[in-house]
Amino acid sequence: MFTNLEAELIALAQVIAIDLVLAGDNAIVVGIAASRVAPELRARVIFWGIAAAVALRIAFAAITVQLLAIIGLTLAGGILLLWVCWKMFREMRHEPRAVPLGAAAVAAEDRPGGTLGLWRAVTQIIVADVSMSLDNVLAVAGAARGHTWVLVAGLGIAVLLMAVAATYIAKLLARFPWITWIGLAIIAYVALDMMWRGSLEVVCRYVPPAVCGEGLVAAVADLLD
Amino acid sequence: MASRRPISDASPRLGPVLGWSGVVVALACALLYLSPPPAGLVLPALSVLLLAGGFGLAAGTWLRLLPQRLGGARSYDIAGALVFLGFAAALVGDSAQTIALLDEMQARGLTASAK
Repeated sequence: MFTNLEAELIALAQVIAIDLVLAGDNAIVVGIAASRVAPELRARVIFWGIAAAVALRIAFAAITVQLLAIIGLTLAGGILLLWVCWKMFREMRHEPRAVPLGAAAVAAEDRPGGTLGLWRAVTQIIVADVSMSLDNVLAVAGAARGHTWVLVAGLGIAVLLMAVAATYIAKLLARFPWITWIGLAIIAYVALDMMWRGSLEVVCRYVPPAVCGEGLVAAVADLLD
Repeated sequence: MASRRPISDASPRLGPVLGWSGVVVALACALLYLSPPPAGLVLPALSVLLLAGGFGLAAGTWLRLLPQRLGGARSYDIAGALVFLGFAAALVGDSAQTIALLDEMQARGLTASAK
């Protein structure tokens, strides 16, 4: 009994660590989107963004087995995330500062497209969440090892910390907008990494196992030599 | 009625924020140097330390245990920077290798306790 509890607590610690680490991309995307809306809308963007992340994780966790069977899912997720990065990049170039620093809070109704600003930000977060949640769920489900309460508790703790982190990141980006470019570069890196791993997954389906993975790296190294 | 000084200033300075964040990053690196984890867990360990520092600083400031400003920088800005850096370190690392290493460590731990 004690050994079981110890194993479950270790699994919980792993799940929390993995959730925190892998949820960083969520926190950064939510922070970027929230920093670009009016201050009084920021809390709502973060709330709906995190709620969407939770809902997607629960939905994907319920169909983990089916997800694992789909080849090319990681590649598709990476392409989707890269598209979100491109949209954010274009918006940031054309609207470099969405909210004037130090200005008094502007009522949503007074801003051009006030309510649309909120839902456009939330939509960006949801689309990015679809890609990012896939990776997170597959990793966390493995670490939980069938202990449902571990999965749920780990998710709850990570979501709480994600919401707090996104709030502080959003405030930081609103005060120092140029840091947003660094955040965008990080998310673009995550997208490209997903596309690379997804491409390997697709290619390895049609290439002999001995060549794929480390064999492929060694073969490429030989060719370069 | 006496007016309260607003926490948000009109011209925030990034220098002090980066300075304090740099100090915390250096402390975290020193801690990892003194007690080094396996190679594949260095970035995740650094990430956890920076996140703990950021959340701890934010909690301490919110509970009024720490000052609102530290040497020209808002404490919440420093906390945000540490959290941002922590997540960046986590995302740049190899998560698949991290999970595999944790699994291996857990298996070794359970095996040892079973003996």
